Amino acid sequence: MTRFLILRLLRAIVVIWGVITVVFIVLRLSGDPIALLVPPEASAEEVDRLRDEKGLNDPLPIQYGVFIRDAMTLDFGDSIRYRQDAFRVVVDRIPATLQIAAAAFAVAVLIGLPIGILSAVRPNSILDNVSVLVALIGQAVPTFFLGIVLILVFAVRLSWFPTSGLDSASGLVLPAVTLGAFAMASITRLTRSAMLEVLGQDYVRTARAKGLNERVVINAHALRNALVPVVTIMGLQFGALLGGSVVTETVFSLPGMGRLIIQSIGNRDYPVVQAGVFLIAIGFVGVNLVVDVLYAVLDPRIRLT
Amino acid sequence: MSATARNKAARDPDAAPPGALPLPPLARIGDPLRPRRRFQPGRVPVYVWVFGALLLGIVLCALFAPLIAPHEPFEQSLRNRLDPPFWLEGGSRTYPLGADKLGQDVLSRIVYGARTSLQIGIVALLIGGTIGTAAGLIAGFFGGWVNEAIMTVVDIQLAFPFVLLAIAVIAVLGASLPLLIVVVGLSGWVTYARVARARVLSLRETGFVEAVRSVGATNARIILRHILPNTLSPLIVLATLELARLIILEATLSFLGLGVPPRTTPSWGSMIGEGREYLGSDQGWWISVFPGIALFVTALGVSRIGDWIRDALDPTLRQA
Repeated sequence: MTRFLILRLLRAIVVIWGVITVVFIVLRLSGDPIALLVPPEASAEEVDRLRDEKGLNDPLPIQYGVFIRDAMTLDFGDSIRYRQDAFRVVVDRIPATLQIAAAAFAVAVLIGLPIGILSAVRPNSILDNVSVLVALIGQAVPTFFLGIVLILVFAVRLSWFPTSGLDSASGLVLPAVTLGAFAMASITRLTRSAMLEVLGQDYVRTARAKGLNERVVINAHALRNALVPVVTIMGLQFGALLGGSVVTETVFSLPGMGRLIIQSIGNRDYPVVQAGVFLIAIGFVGVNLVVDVLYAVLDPRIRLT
Repeated sequence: MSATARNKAARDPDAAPPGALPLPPLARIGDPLRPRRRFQPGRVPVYVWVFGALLLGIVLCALFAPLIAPHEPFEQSLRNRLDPPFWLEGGSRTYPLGADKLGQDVLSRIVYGARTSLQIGIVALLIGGTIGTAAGLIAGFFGGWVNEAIMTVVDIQLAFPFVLLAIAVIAVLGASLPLLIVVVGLSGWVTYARVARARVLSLRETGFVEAVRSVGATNARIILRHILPNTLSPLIVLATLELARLIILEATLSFLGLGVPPRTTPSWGSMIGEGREYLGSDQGWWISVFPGIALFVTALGVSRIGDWIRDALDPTLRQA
């Protein structure tokens, strides 16, 4: 177990290093951020002094070395636009993104899991057919279009929810449904097929033959075994939610990390982009690590190597 | 394949399980409640015909847009701006699905938008599929550090929300059609790489690689003539499922204002984005809603047909 964790952590670190390196390269390919910092009438010397100050006159490998060193201490420099510590700027936006992602995840799991189970227990019932249909639609509808339709129907026409903002809890409903729809559809379909498969196994027949209560058979014998692949997908989906919130935050004008990063790309605010991407990558990798460990807890037959 | 082995495979599709992976595809046991469909042309389900016809219509729109569209996609008529669809009061058959804020015909732009979507989707699919397959074959065949290097790159890409990277690259380098196609294409190569690699690993167990090598075949020949043909079928199934995702990705980027330049190019994603500001009023909801329906129907149709092909050809690939 310890060996597994160490290896897994090492791999996670390599992955995070790779991500921020790619971001570093991509951002340095672009134009000069200094032009945005100084008034147009600034003299060439002033511009050059500022470039020196920001380290933008150093050769690229040195800039890269400095960047990696600073990243390890979470020092990404000051935001060019907000004139304060970039990491701080991003951290301030974490709560909004986490709220949206967590709410979406709750929607996905609390609806997707029970419906998947019920569909599998009563295959070809009305509930099953409806849920399969809804899941198919959920997987095919683009997030941003779903968001727009929900705003049109529930915010503009019916006025049940606000069109944007997180001022009240009701502001969270539409973004959560929008962002969670795809994950919910995936969880429903996977739960259904995993349950169907498990319910056809010999040990389920044995359990039934023993005269066990059907509820016990479903919950204790079938569900526990069906959950293993479902948990994997949940982990992957939670990671995807962190990334998918970029689009949702844009559609609903929410003050989260994703929208901040998009805006910062437009402003060429490199430090904020780097800090934001770094945090999202850490979140992603961290979730996957947790899932791997959970996996072993759920299914002791899997050896961690 | 036992439940344990399958669970392991679900966790890490690359890991060659003890013994060989099912190859050629074994009919899976289980799912007794849902008999497996066999491929019989006479017994194609209705939904496949329906979606097939819809997709055919969209492909025809893309191919013959100038013949089908009632107007030029850029033809503006400010007198008709925000004209509603024909069945609403004030609408006319000149603009069957209404007109946008510049008086451009929504239907015509949707028809031309099919071109943008399919063109980018298909070329990107070829790029991602080729790169991914090549990487997977090389990683699986040579193993060792080559394998480690390629799989680390795969992990890095999987560890990161690709939309963000795509946005960053396009925003930084400036939007252009070739760049957009490459970025969308690169979004999916990792999946092909994993599938191809897993397939190679199990093929190597079967011994025919050894046999071909012993008669003097070079590595390139073994990979291209012997391994690749045996890998193609799951990859083709994967590609049909990927197409829907790529079309949605292109629309998402266009929606965010990072689509094909100039920004007036008819594209479903950018039309949806342009219509957003009108959602609040009674005038103009059609600007977003109809291209949205076109996009949704296309994505749903492609993925349903992809599902059907997968079930019909290769049940071992069945997943959620």
